[in-house]
Amino acid sequence: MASLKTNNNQTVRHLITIGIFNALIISIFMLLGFTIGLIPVILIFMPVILAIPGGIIFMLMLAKAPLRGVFVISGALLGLVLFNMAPAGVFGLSIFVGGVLGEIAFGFIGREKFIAKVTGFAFYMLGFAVGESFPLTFMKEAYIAQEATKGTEQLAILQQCLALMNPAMLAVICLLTVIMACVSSLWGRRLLRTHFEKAGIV
Amino acid sequence: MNDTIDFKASKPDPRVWMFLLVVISLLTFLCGSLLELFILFAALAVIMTWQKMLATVIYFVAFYTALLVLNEFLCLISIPPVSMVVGMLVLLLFRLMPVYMAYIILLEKTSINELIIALEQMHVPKILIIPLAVVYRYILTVKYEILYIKDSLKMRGLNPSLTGMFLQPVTTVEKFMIPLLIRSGKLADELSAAALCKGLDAEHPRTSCTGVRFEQKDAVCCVIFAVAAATLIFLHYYPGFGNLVL
Repeated sequence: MASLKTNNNQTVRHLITIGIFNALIISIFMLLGFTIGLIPVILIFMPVILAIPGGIIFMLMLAKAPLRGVFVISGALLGLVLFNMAPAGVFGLSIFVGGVLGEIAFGFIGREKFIAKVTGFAFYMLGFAVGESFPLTFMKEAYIAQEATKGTEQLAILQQCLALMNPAMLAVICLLTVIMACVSSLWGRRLLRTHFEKAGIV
Repeated sequence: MNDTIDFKASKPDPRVWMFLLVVISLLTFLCGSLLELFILFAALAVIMTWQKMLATVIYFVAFYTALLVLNEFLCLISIPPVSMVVGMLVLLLFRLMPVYMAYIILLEKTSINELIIALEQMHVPKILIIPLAVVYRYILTVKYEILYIKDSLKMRGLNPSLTGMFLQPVTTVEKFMIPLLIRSGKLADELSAAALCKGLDAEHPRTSCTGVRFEQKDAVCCVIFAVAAATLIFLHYYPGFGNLVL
């Protein structure tokens, strides 16, 4: 009974930690997305850029709260926020699916291993990249129909983005996002060792 | 001295504001012309006034007016790259403002306890309720945390601006992220302790002395929002409506 209570305490602590760090992820993603993300070329490569702060935050979050379901919760929260950013909610659903795949990989490889954390985060970011790029590549008509009523400036920027997108570019973005997710995870681990473990935070 | 404390849940119910947030999100996604966005903004300003959030309404109206002036100014003076990026930002703000207003209403008119109870009554799993409630409360604090860190970086002679990020990306990101993560980590520990003291880890279902219930009045509010949304969607797809210009 006592161990069950302790276990429940620990779960609540982990859930609150996950909530705090997800709020941080959402804020930073929004901040970068609505500033530098307004330039069409940068907007296309946004998942690659966002993987940098995302990896650092995720590594600390996984060190502090290695709860079963951490990737699913993170995917659900970010997916909920970005649900209506693309036609038919593709963006939100893709992030959630990325989170689910990340959780499966994280559990399958071994939750204690660093490679499992990297793979999980790579899947999560891959979900983000596919969610952003897939509609721009394969749902161009739906996008143009959706934005046609929203002023010529928006349509002009969107058309510039759509002109850049094709299946090969989608593959390149996904590959670069996965590479950047791995690099930023390594960076996050280095920061954990040099700063957080030394300070006794983890 | 003889005043009795009246334990009553805030009205309308949190679910009404959640429904409004969902409806507004869908409408800003489906209907995005300036006129339609203005109608959404006006409707939310009316709801805010009804909820006695006058200071917030004045702030939003002033901000919206400034955006309209800037938009007109951009139409008059056309500098291709600047006009395109600033114009895009202005249009994005027009589109996001109704969603942000709906979120502010939810935030100001719903206490965190009532929100958690409402979500539990909707059978949302606890594993999602707790992080969602934390995000809902903490996301506005992040802005202040970032500003504090920017100030402390300036005092230490570091450049936390975009220029600094381009000139020294690794240093800037590290110097910016580490304090932010340390502060967040400490906050998570404190918040966990506070939540456990309040019995958030209890096995049995939460009880409420204020009686959080979805009543007939709340249903009427939801129906009004749904009808208004359906009307706006109908007008959006009605050919005559598209010819109207602000």
